[in-house]
Amino acid sequence: MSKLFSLLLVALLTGAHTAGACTVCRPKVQAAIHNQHYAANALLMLLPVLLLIGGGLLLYFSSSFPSLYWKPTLLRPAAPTALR
Amino acid sequence: MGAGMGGFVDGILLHQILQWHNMLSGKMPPNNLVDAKVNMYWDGIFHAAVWIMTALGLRLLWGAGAQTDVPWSGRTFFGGLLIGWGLFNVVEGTIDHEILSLHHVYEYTGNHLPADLAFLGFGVLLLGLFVAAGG
Repeated sequence: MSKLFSLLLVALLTGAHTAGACTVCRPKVQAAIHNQHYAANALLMLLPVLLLIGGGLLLYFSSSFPSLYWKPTLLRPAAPTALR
Repeated sequence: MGAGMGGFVDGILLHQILQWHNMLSGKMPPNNLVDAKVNMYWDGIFHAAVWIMTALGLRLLWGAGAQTDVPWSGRTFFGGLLIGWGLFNVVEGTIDHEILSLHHVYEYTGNHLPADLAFLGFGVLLLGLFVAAGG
């Protein structure tokens, strides 16, 4: 009985108007995404994230960063070599 | 990592729950199903980039943990989160909203400035908190 109910539900859902609308709109969505502006859109949209990643990496690998920022009083003792 | 966490708050709260701040809404306001789905795609690309940024942040944190000249404290970690989140809002808000006009925080109004300034102001507030706490 529950299997029959599930099958009926799936049949109703697949035949529903919204599911039909998606098959109609999907090509339009794909066309609106993958057009001649795709690369420009992606680059401009990701520009802030790329800048933040670049800034973070620059800061991390900058040799002068620890001496500019970290307070010497907070330094940790070196970990024993055997544990590394 | 702070920038990544700020990006996820933005993506989850503003983009998905409130349905504001969609990535391409300045060019293509999500007023119909096709435009909403296109914006959803670009929101997904943004989330993927933020995930990569957070993963990189985790990797750098892991590396910093092995350095003896890095103070390992909750205060340093929390400060890093504050400055990262603040920088995310300021950089994203300045470039995408004000310079490129790709989108605005709240698109469904004639005057985008108040919400955009609130977004920027929140970023500046976080940076101010970081400075006020002594860096």
